Amino acid sequence: MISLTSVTKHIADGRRKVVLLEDVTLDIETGEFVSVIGPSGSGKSTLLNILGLLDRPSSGDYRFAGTSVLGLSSGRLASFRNQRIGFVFQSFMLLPRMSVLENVELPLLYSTLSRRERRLRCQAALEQVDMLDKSRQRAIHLSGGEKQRVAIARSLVNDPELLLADEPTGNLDESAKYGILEIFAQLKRQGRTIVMVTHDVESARIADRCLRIQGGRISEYDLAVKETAASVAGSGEVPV
Amino acid sequence: MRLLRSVSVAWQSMWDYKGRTTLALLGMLVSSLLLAFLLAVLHNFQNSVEGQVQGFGLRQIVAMPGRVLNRQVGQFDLSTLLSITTMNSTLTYQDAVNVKKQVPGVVAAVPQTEIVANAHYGKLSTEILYTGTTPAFDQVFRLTLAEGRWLDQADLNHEAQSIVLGAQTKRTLFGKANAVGKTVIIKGVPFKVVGVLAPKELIGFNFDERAYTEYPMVIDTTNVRHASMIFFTVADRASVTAVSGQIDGVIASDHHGQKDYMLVQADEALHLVDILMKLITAVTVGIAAVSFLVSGIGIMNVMLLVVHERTREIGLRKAVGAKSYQVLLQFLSEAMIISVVGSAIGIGVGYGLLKLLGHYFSAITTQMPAYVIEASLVFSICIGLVFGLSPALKAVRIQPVDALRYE
Repeated sequence: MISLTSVTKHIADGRRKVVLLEDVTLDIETGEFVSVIGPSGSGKSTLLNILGLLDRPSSGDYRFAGTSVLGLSSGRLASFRNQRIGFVFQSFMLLPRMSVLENVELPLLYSTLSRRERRLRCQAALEQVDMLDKSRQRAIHLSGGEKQRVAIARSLVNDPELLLADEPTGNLDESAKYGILEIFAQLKRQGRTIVMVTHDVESARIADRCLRIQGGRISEYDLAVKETAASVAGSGEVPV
Repeated sequence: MRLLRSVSVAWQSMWDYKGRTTLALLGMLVSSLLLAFLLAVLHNFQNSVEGQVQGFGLRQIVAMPGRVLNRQVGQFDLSTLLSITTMNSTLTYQDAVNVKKQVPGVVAAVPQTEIVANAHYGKLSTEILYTGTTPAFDQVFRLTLAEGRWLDQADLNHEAQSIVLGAQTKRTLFGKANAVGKTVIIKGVPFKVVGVLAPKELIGFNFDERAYTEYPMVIDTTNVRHASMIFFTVADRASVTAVSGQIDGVIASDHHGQKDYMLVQADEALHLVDILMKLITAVTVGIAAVSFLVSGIGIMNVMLLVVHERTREIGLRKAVGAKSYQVLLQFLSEAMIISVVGSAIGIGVGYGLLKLLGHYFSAITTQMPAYVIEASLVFSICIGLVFGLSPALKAVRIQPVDALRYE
């Protein structure tokens, strides 16, 4: 479904060229749940931004369901994001003064759906994350876990083919984290294609496979082998 | 996304930032209020003056003391107004009589003379304009009587010491009681009240605080010797200018060629009012335009701040599918809504003030003409568009990937 070929991303820092991604080649099948782990500054978010069509690589090719997407105009990319990709952010990115329902409705405002259809879809998405009873509440009054549930509902409301999650449990306490991971496990069972960036082993473990990224280079990572080392170190963080 | 949805999104976002929206809206409100109120006042003032002059009659010519130096025929404009030289009146009762006799086109020639005096009734006393005129005066001004009758030829012939009171004079001396038949004393002379005028408002004239009697009586009882004005009514409106020339000839002859008076036609006065109003309107629109400009800059500042504060929101909207034109429309709509809503409230408040003004100055009508509303709204829409464009473009240029990282 997703195919990155020799993707490189670099930026200029004054006269210096900073490489964020180096020759990344990656294939993700439909219905696959992939987690990407790596330390801060390793290029995880850059990879996610490129997969989410929020950023363009410096070179390489990106095919989404067979379509080469890098040549699309910014308007077409916006439509692509709107209809085929869902985003979950570490900091939730909810509009605090809006209600839960209005936050979930946000992507649908840029679709052609009628008001009634939009409301029905929002209710279905909120029901999926068990937040329907709080749909009238303002986002600012929710707990961290609830905010992330709403953000997940927002990412699902357009029924996207690809769900991208950037550290979805990074800002949550333990109990909220498990609640969110449970939702991702459910989505996996529903056969959704998910890419989740995290530096938390426990979160990464629910994926079908795990990739490690370091210094902009990507490689397969076997969590089963490294799990013991992480436990011994007494830290949830991946030893990279 | 349809335009309506953009407007709806913009409206909701503005609602979320009520304080800031209100501040930006206030500037536009004041500008529109200024424009709508002042233009409406000018419009109504001009309407009232024109209505009154037309009510007075376009067949009227007024002779008054003073002189316009180097005046060309048919020239009556602002420079004319500025070159009027005031003089003591040399107009006389006889001028009126001679014009009536010698100019066939004149159907009425009514002199007026006046002096401030005290009118007494019992223990009550009030200052009035003790006015002498002739019986045709009420036809010239189309006066309405509240009580009794107007002065007639018999009063003039017999020097009957009859007097007609203005509405305010009567109210001060008699209250609600009937005045006809009572005696008032002016300049030591007892006058029998034969009539009371209904209140009358004509800009530039004062009817209500007068007491009218026969012209010779005022001359006999005061040291006034000349008419303050002579009103001529011409038979045919089309011949007013020609008749004015004939009147001029007669009076000039009476005055041995001394041109110490001037003749003003009603349509000349209207023309002058029109010129004055255009000038004041241009100044008003200029001031309002500056005010609109300032409020436009205010809106731009607020919108720039809003775009800056909502960088993450803009990034989010773009990430979930908002296209550049949709972001542009949202922020342009916000600027336009602030502008148009502020303007609409300003027009409403202006209308309220106009009604209040009409309550205190009943001589002025209180219509809010459609062109004033249209002008205010068009101004505000243009301001919203022009000053909303820069912040909206700034929002469009925000890259989602940068905005989502923005703290």
